[in-house]
Parts: sequence; C-alpha cells; structure tokens
Amino acid sequence: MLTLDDFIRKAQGKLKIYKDFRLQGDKNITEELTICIPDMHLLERGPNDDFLDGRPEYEKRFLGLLDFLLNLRQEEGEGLEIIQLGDMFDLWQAKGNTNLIVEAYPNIIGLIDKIKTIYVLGNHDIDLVRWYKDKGETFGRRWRYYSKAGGKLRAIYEHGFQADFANNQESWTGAIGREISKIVGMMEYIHPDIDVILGSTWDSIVRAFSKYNTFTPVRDPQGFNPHEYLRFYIDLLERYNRGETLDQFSPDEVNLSLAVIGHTHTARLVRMPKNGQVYYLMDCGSWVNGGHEIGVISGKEMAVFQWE
Amino acid sequence: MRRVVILFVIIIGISSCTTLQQPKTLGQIKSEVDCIQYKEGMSWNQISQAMGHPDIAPIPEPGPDLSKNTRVYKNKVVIFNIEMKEVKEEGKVRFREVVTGIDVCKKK
Repeated sequence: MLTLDDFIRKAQGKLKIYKDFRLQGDKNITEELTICIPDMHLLERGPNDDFLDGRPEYEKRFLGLLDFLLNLRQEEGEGLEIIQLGDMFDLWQAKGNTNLIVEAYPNIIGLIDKIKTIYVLGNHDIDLVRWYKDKGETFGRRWRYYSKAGGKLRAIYEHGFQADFANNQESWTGAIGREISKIVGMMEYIHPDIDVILGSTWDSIVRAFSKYNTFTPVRDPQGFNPHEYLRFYIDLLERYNRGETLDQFSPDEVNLSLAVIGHTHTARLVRMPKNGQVYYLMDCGSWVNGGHEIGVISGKEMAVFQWE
Repeated sequence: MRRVVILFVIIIGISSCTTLQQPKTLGQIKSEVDCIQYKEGMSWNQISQAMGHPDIAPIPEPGPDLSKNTRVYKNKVVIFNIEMKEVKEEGKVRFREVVTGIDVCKKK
C-alpha cells in the first residue's frame, strides 16, 4: 500500500496538503490507499453549472486528476480504492437527467468509470435510485461504503446530507431545502454566483449562532464547533461500534473511528476524543466553484489535498 | 411584504409541479410509437411498410444514376442509441459518444 508521502511523490508537485489537514490515527483505518472525490455537481455546461463555473481550466484540472488516477490504478491495481462521495451529478437542476450531462462531459464520465470508482449517493443525485425503485436498479450507487482493516470496519463513507437538517432527503425539511435549492438554481441564470453569495451569507448566520451557542449554551459551553456535523457522526460511529444499527454488523466486526463526507463544500479534518476512543471526521470539500480537493487515507494516515 | 410572500409561494408551487413530472423511460416512449430499427442494407420495403408513403420525394441528385434517391418523412420520431467509446488523444485515454443504432418511429 502506498503511503501518503509515496502518493505525494508520485503526483510530482500536483498535490498539496490543504491547510494543515493531515493527521495520523493510532491504528490502521484502511488496507488500501483510499482516495475520496467529493461533490462535482456536473451539469450541462450552462450558466448554472457550478463544476465548470464558466472556466474551462477547471475541467482540464479535473481531467488531469483522472489521468493521474488512471495511471495509479494501472500501477497499483487492487491496492487502490477510489470513492466518489455523491453529488457527482446535479439532477436538481439538470434539463435532461444524466443523459445530457453525459453528452456534456463524456471524458469525465468515461474516465471516472474506467478507474473503477465506487459511487456513493448524494442528495443532488439521489434520483438515480428513485427512477427504477420498484426494480431495485441503483446504477451501482450505494447509500454508504465502509473500509476494513484488521478484519474490522474502520471507516464509513457517505455523502453527508444525512446530517443536514435542510437536506436530509428522508424528511420534510429536506424536501423544502430541495425546492429552495432549485429556486436558487434558476436565479443563477440571472447571476451565476448567486448560489455562492447566498451560501456564504447563510454560513455566516449559522456560524454566528454556532459560535455563541444561542440555542445550547449549557450543552456546548466552549462556544466552538470545529464541524457542524461532528456530533452527528461521532454519535453514528458510536452506535455502529455498539452494534446498534440496522446494517447487521455485530460489535465484534466493527471498530469505526473515521467518517468521510462531502456535502458542505468546505474541506476540514477534525479529531475528537470521546469515551476513551479517538474519532475523526474528514470533510473532503468539493470540485464546484473552483474547489479542487480530495480526501486520502492510507493505513493510519489521513489528509485533505488540493490538486493543482 | 405580502406580495413577496405570494411570489415565493407561486415559485415554490411551480417548481414543485416540475418535480412531479417524472422522467420518461425508453420503454414508455416506445409504447406510444411504432418503430423500425435501421440496419445498413435493409430493404426499403421494410421501411415503407412500417412508416407508410414518404411525405416528400425529392428529385434525384445530379448524375447519371436515377436509382439513387432520398425519401423524406416529416414529423416522425427518431431514436438514437448511444454508447461511450474509448479513444486515444495525444497519448491520453479519452471518450466519445457514438451512435450504435437508430430507430425511426411514427405515432400510433
């Protein structure tokens, strides 16, 4: 298995650790070099296409990453695992479902399939499992994915909308969030960056409430929250470890310490000790509006990189 | 303020209606039309039996051969079957969409 330093060397200067997001766990988390590609939101190259964002160099940069991963797959074979963390397509705004997105980006769709990517569902491409719900056709998409090390589950990979009150696709709040996103998507025809402006405004409001703990000053006395979904994911990992899930894993098979997500479009890597165990949350960022991050895990090591 | 709220409700309502329109499958589309699949070398009779008389019969293109003709149907449905094909471009693996079949259809 390649180490993170081997991986950086092979990229020949194209990879940079994002901020200081590199950590080492106490035990192995994966047995393969695991590369996580977060939200892409591919559309049909129109003004609302946040992947292209009107800049052909963004597509070229992503193709550069896929070319590198194709070479790596040929060299490393099964020693490499590549996971797309959902929202690969933005079906909330697509004119012709995935069909016309494939027409717009044949190289990206072809290459990402060729490198044997494991696909996890996001809220923007969840329709892929709804079209043929009765027949059970999922187009190879999974709700979540797991890594094993030493015979036990050690990491869980999912999109992250499950922790988001306004985007959980199984609740009424998520349905409202979807409609609001569609309206904002339509507004992008008037101003292409309206989603970014409104998103930043919303984030600053949430951050202010979070920082001063307006609603939960007793429960969160520190007044500091390194990731808005940290509590959700530590709770999820602990429930798995206790065997309290519907996924039929007994506690003997599970020792989860890492959750890997996308969804927020803001990369972070957070470490949090709790009840005698250390938990990690890796948010891999995005490839929209100029984002160019990937999450990488190798053995005990984990980091968020930017691909140049 | 009331007008803004009303406008917001209308926009939500319209976008919800568009959500209710389910995307169609190929099977659903084909259930509304009669189709014949084009294969190179197939006889013209098969086409004319399935599609009926052509709407326009253009005069032949200039040249000695009067047997080379075109026939035009208006308002028909054409279905292209498309797949991805791997190609090499400047030493890199790239992909192109290619047409692997054509269905010509008329409404039932």
